[in-house]
Amino acid sequence: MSGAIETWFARKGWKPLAFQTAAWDAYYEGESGLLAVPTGSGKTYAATLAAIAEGLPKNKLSILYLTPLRALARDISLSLQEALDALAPGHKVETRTGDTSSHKKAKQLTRVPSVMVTTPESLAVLLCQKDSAEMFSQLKLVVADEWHELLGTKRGVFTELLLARLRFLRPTLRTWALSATIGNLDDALRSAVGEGREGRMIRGDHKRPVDIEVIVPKGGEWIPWGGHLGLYCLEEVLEYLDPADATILFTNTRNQAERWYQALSIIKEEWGDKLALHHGSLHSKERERVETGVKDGSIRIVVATSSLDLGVDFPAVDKVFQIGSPKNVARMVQRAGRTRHRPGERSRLFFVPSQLLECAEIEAVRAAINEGQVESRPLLDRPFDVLAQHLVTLACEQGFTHREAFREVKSATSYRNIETREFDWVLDFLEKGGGALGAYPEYRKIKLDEEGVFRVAAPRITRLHKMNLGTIHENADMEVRFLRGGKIGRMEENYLSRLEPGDRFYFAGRSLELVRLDEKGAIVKRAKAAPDTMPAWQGGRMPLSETLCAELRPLLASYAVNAPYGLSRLLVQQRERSAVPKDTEVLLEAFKSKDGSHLFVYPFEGRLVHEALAALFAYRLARHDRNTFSISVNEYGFELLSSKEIDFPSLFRDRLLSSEGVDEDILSSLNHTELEKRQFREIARIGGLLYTRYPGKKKTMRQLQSSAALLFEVIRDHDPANLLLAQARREVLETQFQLVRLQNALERMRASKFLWQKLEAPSPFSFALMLERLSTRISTESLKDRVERMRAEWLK
Amino acid sequence: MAEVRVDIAGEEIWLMPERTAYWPRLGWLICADLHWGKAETFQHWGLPVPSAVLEKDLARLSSAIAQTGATKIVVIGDLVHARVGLSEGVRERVANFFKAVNVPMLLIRGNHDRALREIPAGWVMEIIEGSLDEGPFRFRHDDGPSGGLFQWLGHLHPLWVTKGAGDRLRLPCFWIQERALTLPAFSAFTAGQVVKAGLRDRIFLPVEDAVLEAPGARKGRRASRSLPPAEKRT
Repeated sequence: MSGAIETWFARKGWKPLAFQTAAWDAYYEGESGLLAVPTGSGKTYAATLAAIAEGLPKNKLSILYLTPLRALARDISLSLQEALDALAPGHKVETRTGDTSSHKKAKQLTRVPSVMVTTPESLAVLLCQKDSAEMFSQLKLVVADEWHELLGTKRGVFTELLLARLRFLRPTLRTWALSATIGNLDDALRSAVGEGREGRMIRGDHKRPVDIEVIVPKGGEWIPWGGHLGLYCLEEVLEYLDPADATILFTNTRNQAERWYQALSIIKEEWGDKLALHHGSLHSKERERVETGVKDGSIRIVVATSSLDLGVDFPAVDKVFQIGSPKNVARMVQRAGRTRHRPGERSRLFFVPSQLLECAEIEAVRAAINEGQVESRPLLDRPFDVLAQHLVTLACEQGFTHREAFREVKSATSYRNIETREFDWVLDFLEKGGGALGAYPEYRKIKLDEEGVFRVAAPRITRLHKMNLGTIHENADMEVRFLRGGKIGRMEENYLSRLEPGDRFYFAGRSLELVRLDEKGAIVKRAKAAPDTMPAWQGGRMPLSETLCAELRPLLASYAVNAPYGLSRLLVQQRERSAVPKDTEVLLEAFKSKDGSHLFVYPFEGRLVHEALAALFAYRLARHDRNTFSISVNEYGFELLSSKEIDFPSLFRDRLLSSEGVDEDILSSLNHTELEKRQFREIARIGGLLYTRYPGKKKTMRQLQSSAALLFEVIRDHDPANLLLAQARREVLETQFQLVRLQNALERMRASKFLWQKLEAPSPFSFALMLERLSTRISTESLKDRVERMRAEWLK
Repeated sequence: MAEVRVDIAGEEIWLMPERTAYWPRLGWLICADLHWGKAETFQHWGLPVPSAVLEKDLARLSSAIAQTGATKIVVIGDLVHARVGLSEGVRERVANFFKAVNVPMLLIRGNHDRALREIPAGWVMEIIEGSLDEGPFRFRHDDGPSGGLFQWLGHLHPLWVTKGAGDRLRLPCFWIQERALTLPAFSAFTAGQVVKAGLRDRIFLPVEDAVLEAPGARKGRRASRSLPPAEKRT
């Protein structure tokens, strides 16, 4: 059978790669599995050609290709059509995404294509459609692309459940996932094929060497010891930039991207439209313009955030820059990979440190790549919001029985541990609201019919459900447009609502002045003067990865006098004033200044873990000796500052590091209600407590406006046992404080030697922390007390 | 009782922690934006918001009546939320409330009260369109011509942002301007609009069992960074 493929390949002048042949063989053996190969290496054909060459029935959907990136759907369908024309002439591939017209979507239901390229969200909507089960009656293969991107996210869990449903409809279905290299490919495989099934792992990753060049200031100037922008190095970077070379400059935050774009467009005015900016807050039209420009070569140099990491499939570029902390290994490999024209070729990355210690980070990246270390993407554990949404999807058209649905859900790896009690709660939540008897008398999302099948309670529920499907939640944002018309993009509402008319800010590379805010967003005009404020987007909180931190600690300790990039100067001073910890040590510094007593701790565990550790230490210290600490953190450590003089070393006891009660202590130390409330927004939307999109009848729907914060309060007050509240708390701990990583860090610290240093003057490490002071307070007072205390301050 | 007594247009008015005001001379308990049946409206559309919201609001209103000995409840608009929310259960619970407190209600119709086509059985009330003048005051739901009187308003759901000592809260407030008093939304299940207070405005915050005055515009400006006027945003 694969003879046909070989003939076609030979005609095209191609040779099947080993992993492609392996994948085809596995398919013919009836297997499902995971293909772990880099992007752009022929994985689409590896996953689909066997099924195509085998022969396809007429007018039946045989192959479903799921991509999380709808921008890629077109390119994928073009290459699949080419394969169909050669191997199964007369068969069609069609795309079905949010961009597909409703006319075309309707047509696809009667004139079914043989191959469909779609997104998980569009597939879910399809399942809500009348007679959808019939549509999948001949389905033989589902391919889930970019599985590494989905893994460990709610969208991934959402997709797992969809795969479980398709397997339920078609027990002989084969599912193949495609993934880049990640640290936990076993989990990726397991979740791709579902519980209780054997899957085949096929790896096609040839070594991917990466050349990294660090750009340092000329003339022996120092790389700054603090800061996040990297603009001090602008002149040096300019020497490497030339519109003749297609170039991407990646930054970590939108703010940084705006600033670099601004600087470049001022200095290199002559580049004009060859220079562009790309980040997630720009209007989608603008982003598409830039993407097309990069593809067709009219745009030569792009300053971008991670918005360009994904979803944009364009030919390899000549140069890639990383400005600021690399954050994690996988991302650097992927970004550098943009310069690779052919499989096996070396890829190349220019690194611009925004502060000196990042030079050590990039060396740690180098070491990790050499050792083949890369980050894992741990699976989520049974999120109830995604399950609730999925069950409504099933109830819309197909209906489900308790027994079958429970078995089906449990076959999705992320729900393998779900208990009957929890599943029943979710059902009850959909049927009766989940609370005490009669707590929600008029509510009903699904109901049980006479045959014991759960179905949606009313057509209006189906309508709203379909519009609000999915798990992708964007931060609340507002449109930014000119007074004279013309949209510029979208910005976070949070930021915009804090501006006063007349305030000037950079956005989309322009200096703008706020005229006013209205119900649709912000109205602006071009500012005559330079901005006085800078958008602070919520992004940029991504911490240094665990993998990278594990490389960084021994690396720093190993640096002696001849460390690269002037790192020695910093390390020599650090040793003179304090010490540089070994991998088996934790450095603690105590310092007294006119601000009070400082404690600096350097676990090198990334900023989120440090935030949690700092809160934990402050809480545990203050429990014995009432006190208030202000806290500051960075990727390397954290600081506790007490205005009251205290002797930190004498207070430091083992129980500070105890793992016992970590959850409760962290939650008690912070204003966790606020954090949970914020986390609840996403849960409420996914779990169907909140609609963000309404059908035409705007007026009626205005009755349903509410904020997640309000819902959170009402449910907490009247239905405290609601499992979605518990989920919000768990997610705060897991995502905001990386609880698992925190526990690992505590364990490592307990096993380490404490290296106490009393400082006469700030050490270089502590200096960076003092530069970043962010204040977090610890409050256990009641609402009234808080207002009274604030009032006392107003009246001063 | 932890009310704050203020002088408004020569009349003594109590601002109460229950998010109501009381006019002792006439025995009127005045409140706005109760949105009865809002939770049930959400339920109708498949969103599980607990019905206990209404229970708690009714209990709070009863308590304010008991404390003041009010002889009339004056609602300046948005007593109910939407027609689908006026379920059998809601109508019954409210009827029971009227029976228990035995105080009649005067409703000045607000935009949401369009849903109230006729008065449900057992609701002891009278509905007035537009506005009501009494003494130095004009009561109405939404801003409009004052006819030279001091206006009592609802509709806005005013919120005040308090900041300081590293903390930040958004709370419903009584907003007293030179010629108008805007009441906080009575319902606990409502959001609102942050107000921008003028220099001589006074802001009172019902918090737990007390009413606290926030400083006026001088320091307050900092606290209430601008949001557009509420009319434009709803």
